[in-house]
Amino acid sequence: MLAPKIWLSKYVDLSGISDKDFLEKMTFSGNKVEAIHIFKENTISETVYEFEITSNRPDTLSIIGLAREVSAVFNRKFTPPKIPSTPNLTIQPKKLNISDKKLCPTYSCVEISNITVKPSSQNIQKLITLAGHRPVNNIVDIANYILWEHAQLMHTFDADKIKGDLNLRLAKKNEKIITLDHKTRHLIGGEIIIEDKEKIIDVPGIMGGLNTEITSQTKRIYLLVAIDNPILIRRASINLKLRSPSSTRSEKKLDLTQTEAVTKRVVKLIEQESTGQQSTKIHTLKSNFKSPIIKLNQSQVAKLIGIEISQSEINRYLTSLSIKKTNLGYQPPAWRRDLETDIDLIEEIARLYGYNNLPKTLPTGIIPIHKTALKKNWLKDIKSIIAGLGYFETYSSTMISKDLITSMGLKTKSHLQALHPMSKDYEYMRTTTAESLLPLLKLNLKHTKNINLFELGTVFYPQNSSLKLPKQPLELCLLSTTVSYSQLKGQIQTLALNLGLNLDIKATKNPTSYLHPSNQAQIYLKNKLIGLIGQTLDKKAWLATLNVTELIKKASAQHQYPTISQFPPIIEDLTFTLPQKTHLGPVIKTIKSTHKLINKVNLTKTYHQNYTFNITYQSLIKPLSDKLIAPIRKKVVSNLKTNHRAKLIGKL
Amino acid sequence: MQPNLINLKNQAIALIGEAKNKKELERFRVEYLGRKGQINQILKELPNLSPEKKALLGKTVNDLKKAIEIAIETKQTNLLKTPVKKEFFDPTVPSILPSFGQLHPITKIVNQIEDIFTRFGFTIASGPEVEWDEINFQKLRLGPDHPSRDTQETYYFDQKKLLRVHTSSVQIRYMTKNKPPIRIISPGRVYRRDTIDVTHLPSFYQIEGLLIDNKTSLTDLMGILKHTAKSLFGQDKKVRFYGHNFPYTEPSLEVEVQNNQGKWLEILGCGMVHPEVLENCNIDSTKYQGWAFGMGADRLAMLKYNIKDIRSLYSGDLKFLNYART
Repeated sequence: MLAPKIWLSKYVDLSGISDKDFLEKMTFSGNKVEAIHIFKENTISETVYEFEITSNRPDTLSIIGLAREVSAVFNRKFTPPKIPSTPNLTIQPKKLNISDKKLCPTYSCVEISNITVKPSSQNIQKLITLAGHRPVNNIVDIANYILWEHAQLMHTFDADKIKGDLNLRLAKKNEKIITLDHKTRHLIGGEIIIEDKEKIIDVPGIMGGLNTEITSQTKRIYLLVAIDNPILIRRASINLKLRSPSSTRSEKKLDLTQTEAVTKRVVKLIEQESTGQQSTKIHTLKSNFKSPIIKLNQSQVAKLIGIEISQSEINRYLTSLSIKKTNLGYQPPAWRRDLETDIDLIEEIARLYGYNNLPKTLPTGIIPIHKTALKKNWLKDIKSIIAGLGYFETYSSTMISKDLITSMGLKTKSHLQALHPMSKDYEYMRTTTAESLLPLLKLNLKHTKNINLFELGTVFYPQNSSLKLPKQPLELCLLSTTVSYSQLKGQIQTLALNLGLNLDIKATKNPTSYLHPSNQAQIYLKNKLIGLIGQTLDKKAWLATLNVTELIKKASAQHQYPTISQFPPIIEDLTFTLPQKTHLGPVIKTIKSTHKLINKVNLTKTYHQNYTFNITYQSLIKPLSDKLIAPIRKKVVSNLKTNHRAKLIGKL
Repeated sequence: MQPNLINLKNQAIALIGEAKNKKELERFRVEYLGRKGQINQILKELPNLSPEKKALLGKTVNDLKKAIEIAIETKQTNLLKTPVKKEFFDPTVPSILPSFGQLHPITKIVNQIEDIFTRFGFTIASGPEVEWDEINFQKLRLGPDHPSRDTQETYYFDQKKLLRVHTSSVQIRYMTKNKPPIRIISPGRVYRRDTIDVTHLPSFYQIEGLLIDNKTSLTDLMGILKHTAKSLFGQDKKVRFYGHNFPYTEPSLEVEVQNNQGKWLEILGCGMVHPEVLENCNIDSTKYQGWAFGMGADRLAMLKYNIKDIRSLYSGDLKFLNYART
């Protein structure tokens, strides 16, 4: 909202208030000044304040509303505009029938004749130009002037183009109107419209019809100043994609008592600016709106804000906002329809007292202990461990494109789809963090060979039932060009061990489309599939994904520290020849499960099909001798022979 | 002691003292203490002596032996103390960097804020990103026709499901499930249907806080936020508050912090939780009151680390992420 200083000065004295002071005090009171513009023309410079107006304060979407705020904040006198007297005529203006008063709770109308359409006066042109409007002609300029001054919409029709009485009703589906911008608008039904005997002539709050437009030939005006149902205006402006300064005002709760006073001002302005004359009486439909009376005492204020504010101060702040003190409570003025309850008034008191003048304290209440309070912040741990392993954390978009999904060999059907995406790049929700990290491989390979990336974020699985939210677990993805399969596997196992968990990695029966068809495996936690590990299709990197929600469910910080044996171990190497394509995991498992005294088995050397295993025998309760180990060793050899067709190299 | 033994002792100690290196010292050790050394030669005479003399000579030789041993030991320690030969050393040779990753700037900011608030007894709460309209909007006093829905353009999946526009939805879920007192902090991704540019992406990170009890008031909220802003941006930084409007809080405020150039930067919105919101979560608003705040972690990270383009945060480009090695 642009507010020229000279315009504000018509209603409140701004003398002696510096721009800096104005900006700070208005901003602190909740009337945020976003910018101060200075326009220089010849020797005259004009200051224009740009306000950010919050949606609860449509009254300050006007010069008068802002002047009232300035008056309250700086304790200056507010002088409202004079309401001119109008002639007492008996002729009634054209009738506006309203099917339901909820659609239009109040309006005033009048007819003006003998007008001439011409440029408006320098004075009006200057003010509306500073406020950001382009001068058009006297009638349009007056409408903008009134909109800016009162936050009140007015509409002027060429009275000679209206046939018969007017009717205000809800539009039906498929009705049409060509609006002032020469565009055909197809109504979806439910918009407020005004029609005459023959045609729709206006979509109030949105835009008028071309068929009753004021032109240079217009001699007689039908003026309508109305407040329509804000919700219906808002819906219509969204549906018709027509947002304008008019619609942003008329979709909010405006003053329901001002249409007649505004009409009188418009009549006077049209008379001044166009030699027109009022030709009918002003007809007004009054709203039955009455401001509520709100109860408020000093202790409620103290309880919410945290300090005592005296009753006289409270009264002073509220009075400065034209809030009346009655025997029953406080009554806000008609233009403050946002003030409905006690906390609304407390907010007014607090902002005028000045938030920055309040003391700053810290909470003194009891620290709550809920179930979640006892939970460890595992996410932080997981991220630190992975970063410590050399990975860089990324935050990618969780919304992805159809192209990406199909390029990875996945189906869009298995992805949630947003209804009205802004762009094709952000249309579907990712089902795996791999969808986010794989594209980053290409991007980074352009400038480096060493890529280590990780992301921990939400993935989305649609549910069959519309009554359920999609499943949304957290997933971790590691992507690296610098590790081997064994190293990556070791890294995720290390992560799991830090969470007190053991992962099983098993061969895949149903390979995933975006990983190398053979070089991939599945990750299990206690027989539940929780992730994948595999090589990228171009074999440039290895990737692993892990369902972190499942990991955290089972995670434990109660690590079991081992008892160290007091007796020396016996360590020996055994070398076996294994048949081609033998999986080593089960072989090592066989060795280890042969006897409880075998507590470590490491693969130390491989040469062709020969594999050397380093085996550690150790007991917690007694020293070991070769005599004791010999039968175990024999069993190892025979187990490997029967289970894996392995042949020992050398002799026992 | 016999004179020849005294001579032997003096001679031995002198020679040992002058030994130039370990090898020489070892030679002397063998000469005196070795199996065929001088001491053993003397002891060979022992069997021929009378018991009295035997005892005397035995003791004397033993003393002699000990003295030589001590001399050798001392010399050995001294020899070790001899300075090691100097070599050429270049401290400016290039380092070999270990493989060490980095947390994302957003994570760093979230961690810092979590740390600040966990000190005040806040715990971390989370909730779904695809959320019900009812929880994301309606329970927060954002009815279907509320004008604020305009500025919060929303991604929908059907009439009832959407991508949350704030993590206030987590607060609603938490308040509905838990009784006051409540102190939670909820970081998470939120979504807006915005046109993409240097400051707008379809999603960004938010961190919100909530405290509900029967003792707190607006001055507590302002106190804790002032503490937070100063912890994040420096104790010397100025912080200020001004009035604003959010449907779910009243009074509503915004907070600004002054940067090094003296410019005021908006960092967060906050306010006293609206009693209707409490009632929507079955909390008795006559007994309890509280406050909430929300800040953009992206924005804070950009301010703190002087990042100009929000898109670089989400680029996944190592040139950006690996800031320490460029």
